[in-house]
Amino acid sequence: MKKQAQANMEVSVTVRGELVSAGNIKILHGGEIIGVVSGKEVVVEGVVKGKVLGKEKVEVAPQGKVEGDVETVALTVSRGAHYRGRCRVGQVLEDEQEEKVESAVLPKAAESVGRRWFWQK
Amino acid sequence: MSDELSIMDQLGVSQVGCFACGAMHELAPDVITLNCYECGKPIDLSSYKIESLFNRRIQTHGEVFITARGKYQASNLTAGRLVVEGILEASYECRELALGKVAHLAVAGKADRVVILPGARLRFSDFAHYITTTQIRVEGHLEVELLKFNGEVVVGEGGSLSGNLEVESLMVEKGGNFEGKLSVG
Repeated sequence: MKKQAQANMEVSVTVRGELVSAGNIKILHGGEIIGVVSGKEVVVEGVVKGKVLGKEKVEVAPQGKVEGDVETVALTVSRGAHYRGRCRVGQVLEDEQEEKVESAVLPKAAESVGRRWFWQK
Repeated sequence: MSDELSIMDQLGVSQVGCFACGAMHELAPDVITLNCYECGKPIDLSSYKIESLFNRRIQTHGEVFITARGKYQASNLTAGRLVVEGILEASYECRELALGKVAHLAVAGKADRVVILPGARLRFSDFAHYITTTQIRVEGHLEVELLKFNGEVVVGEGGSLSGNLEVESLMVEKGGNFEGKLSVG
């Protein structure tokens, strides 16, 4: 079953698989993504182990942790954050990002663990 | 003299220290000359453009611009902003060090912030030993093998950075490019 999220999302639980939205995604403190997260603007205050795709921007907040690759147009990794991985950041990625977001499937292989994860307009 | 004032504004400088005794002075918006109230010595706020060999010592809170044909060769240089497109053969201390197309540093120094100017294509290994700073802003092109330091890297619009980074924080603004391995924290 294919689903394409349009809304903004906030995640406060553990999710394994792909998390994709045409809107913004915020991984809150306590939230964890193991897999791929793809959105317009992605803010990581929790943990991501895997790939992060941001159509417009990716931000790793001071308490955020990312272990994996990032592809986006603009990137901020704040002082105090933890990041290990490869980055491709730039305007040239804009078209590629668009294709990736459109072709992605939600919630393909997505599985919440522990507390529920929720959507927010 | 309005140029000097705008440089102070650009650098966000509201206070300057006396080069002789260190006493701090508030800068009024219209100040063009200053004498230290403690020791009476003049405090240089003017700017210099160096277009050939220059070997007298400069201490100013204004800008020193070493053009592509310029060469500064003295014991040391102190400036608010130091723009190097030519050759700098002196120990230096400044708030901002801006490196242009064919910048060449031969002696180590300190800058609060380093800017790689638009149009410049530099390899970090060529000047890494000569710079102590806590912030690098890339508006041109900078190639690094491994840039490892306790500070912040910013890639501005039109800037391009490639290579591996181990830094305290990284910001790539929209229109900037970065490709490489990143390690933060």
